[in-house]
Amino acid sequence: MDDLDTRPDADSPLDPELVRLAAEYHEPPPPPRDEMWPRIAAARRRPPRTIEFRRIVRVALPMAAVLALAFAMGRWSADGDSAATGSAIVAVGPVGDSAETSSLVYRAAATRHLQSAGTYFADFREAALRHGASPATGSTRELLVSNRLLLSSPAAEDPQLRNLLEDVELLLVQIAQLPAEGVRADPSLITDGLDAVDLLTRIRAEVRPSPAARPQGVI
Amino acid sequence: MYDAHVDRVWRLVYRIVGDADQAADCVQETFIRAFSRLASFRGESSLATWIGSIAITTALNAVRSLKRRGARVVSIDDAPEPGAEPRNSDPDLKQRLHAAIDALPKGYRTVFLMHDVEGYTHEEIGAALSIASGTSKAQLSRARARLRSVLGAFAPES
Repeated sequence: MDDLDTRPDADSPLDPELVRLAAEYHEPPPPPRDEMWPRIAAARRRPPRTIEFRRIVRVALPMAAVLALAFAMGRWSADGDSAATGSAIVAVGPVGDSAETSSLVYRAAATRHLQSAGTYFADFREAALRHGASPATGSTRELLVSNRLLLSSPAAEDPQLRNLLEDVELLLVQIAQLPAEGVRADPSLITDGLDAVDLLTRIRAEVRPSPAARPQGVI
Repeated sequence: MYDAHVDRVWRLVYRIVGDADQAADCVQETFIRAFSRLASFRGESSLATWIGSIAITTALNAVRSLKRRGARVVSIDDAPEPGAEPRNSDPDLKQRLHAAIDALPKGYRTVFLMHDVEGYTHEEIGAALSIASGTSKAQLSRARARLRSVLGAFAPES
C-alpha cells in the first residue's frame, strides 16, 4: 500500500466533503467537566510516586552486548557468505542452507533479546509499582538499539515475532523518554501499557523452548 | 490548568477512543498524571503539547486494551473496495469513510485525526507523539493515500 505515496496527490488535502465527513468520526460531545473533576481533585491530594531502579543496569547491559554479537552473526549469514554459513552451522547444528542458518541464528538472537527485555520489563514494572528513582536510560537505549536491529534484519519474517518486537520497541521508547522529557510518559502509564498488551506473557511464550525448534544433534 | 486544557484534551482523546466512558477515564488519568508531574515539566514544549502527549499515550493504551479484548477490531479486509462507487452517489459514504479510518494503522489514524480533523500542526503532532515532524507528514500522506484508495472516486483530481 505504501507505493501509493508516490502518487502526485499524496500530499494534497482530501476532498473537502471527505474532510467534513471525517470530522464526524468519533465526534466528541461536550466534555463532562464537572463529572471528571472530582476524581482528579481527589488524586491531587495523594502524595506523588517516584521510581527507583537497581537491577536494570546489571541485567540489561550484558544482555544487549550478547544480542548485538548474535545479531551481527545473523546479518553475516543472511548475506549468504559461505564462510559465515559454515561457522553458524557449527554453532547451531546441521542445517541445509544459508537461509535456514540465518533464520536459526536470528531466532536465537531474538530469543536472547526477548529474555533480556522480559527481565528488564519485569524489573521496571516491579520498581514502578513500588517507588524509586530515575530509570537507567543507558540500558534502555541498548535494548532499543538491539530491538531496532532485530526489526531491521532481513531475517525478520515471522509476523508474530515482528508484532511482539514492535510492542517491545514502543514501551522501550516510552521508558527512554522518562528522564529526558521530564514526565512525558508516566511510569505507571508504561506499566499500564505492559499490562494492556500482555507483553510479559507474550515474551515468556516466545522464549519458551519448543521441541520442534531445538537444533538437531542436541540431546 | 484543567479549565484551560480539558476541552482540547477531551476532543483529542475522544477522537482516538470513540467512547465517552473510556474518554472520560483517559482524560482523568491524563490530568492526574499531569498534576502529579507538573513540578518536573521543563518547559521544553508548551504545556498544551506536554499534556497532549500524556493524553495520547493514555488514549492509545486504552485503545490497545480495548483491541485486546476484541471490542474494537477492524480489519483492512473489512474496509470497502477501492473505487466502488461514483462521487456523491453513495448514501453510505460516511460509514465507508469511518470504516476506512478505523482500518488505518494506529499511527496513520492518530496523525490523520490530529492533523486533518483536529487541526494540529505537524510540529505539535511530532512533539506529542515523540516523532519527527517529517514522520508526521509522511504518515499523513500515507493515511490520505489509503483513504483515497479505499474511497476511490472521492480523491481530489488535482
